Amino acid sequence: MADDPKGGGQPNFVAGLQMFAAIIALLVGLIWLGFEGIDWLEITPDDNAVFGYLMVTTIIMAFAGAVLWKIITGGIDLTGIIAEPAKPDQKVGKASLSRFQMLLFTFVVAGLFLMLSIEAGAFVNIPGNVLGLIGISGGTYVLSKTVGKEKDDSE
Amino acid sequence: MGLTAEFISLVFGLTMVAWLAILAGFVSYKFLTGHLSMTGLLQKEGGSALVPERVTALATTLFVAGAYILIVLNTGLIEDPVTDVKSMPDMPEALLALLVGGKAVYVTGKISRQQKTGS
Repeated sequence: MADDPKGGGQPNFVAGLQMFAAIIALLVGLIWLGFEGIDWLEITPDDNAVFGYLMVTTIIMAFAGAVLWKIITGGIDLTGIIAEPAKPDQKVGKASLSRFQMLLFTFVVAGLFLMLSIEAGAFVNIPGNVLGLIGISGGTYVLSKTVGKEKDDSE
Repeated sequence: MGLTAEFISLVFGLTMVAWLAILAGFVSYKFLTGHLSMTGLLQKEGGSALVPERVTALATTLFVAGAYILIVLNTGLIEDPVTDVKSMPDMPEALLALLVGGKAVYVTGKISRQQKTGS
């Protein structure tokens, strides 16, 4: 183990272990309640499934919300979202057309897919040409990145 | 229990749409206010003049994205009468060809300029 300048390595490890044990105990308790509650509390298997579904969606929405919050408050920096890697004399790299195209198509296709899925009530199929659109966008990005790297290597 | 899987599914889907819309709106706002740099999007590295193939590629990209949004809004869900499978509207071959053309011009121009600079 690396030396900890604050000497807090051991307490952190113990706290982590306690947290892990608490999570495992909670999960075991929930699983036990899920099975036993069917008899005791007259919970149906469907109720169990809905409860599990609610938990999973809540966790995913919490992750999504945390990421969005961090982005809006500046915790996640978007400065270089479409920029190429900065040169030593630059603060931010030059904007990349390929990255911009990928960003645009991702928003367009993901947004339309989500809207149509809500309308249909299930995941909808994505046609081959739309997948091709994303593939072309990603392929051009990789190609232009490769070309750019060759240029950097030759300098 | 009043809470159903369908209701949770609807709330989750709407939340994800809202999440994506907020993210897209925030990124657009940052672009418009200049917090996210678009400097050099239409220029070559180290240059200040507009590069035609970049302008072409950007124009075709915006056109294809806008056209596909219009197609989806006008057509809506496509349902196969035989299999009942629902899908997004397909993108016309012409639009895809336009996009590939724009990209091909862009990549060719980039390689050609690089070789010209290298020689």
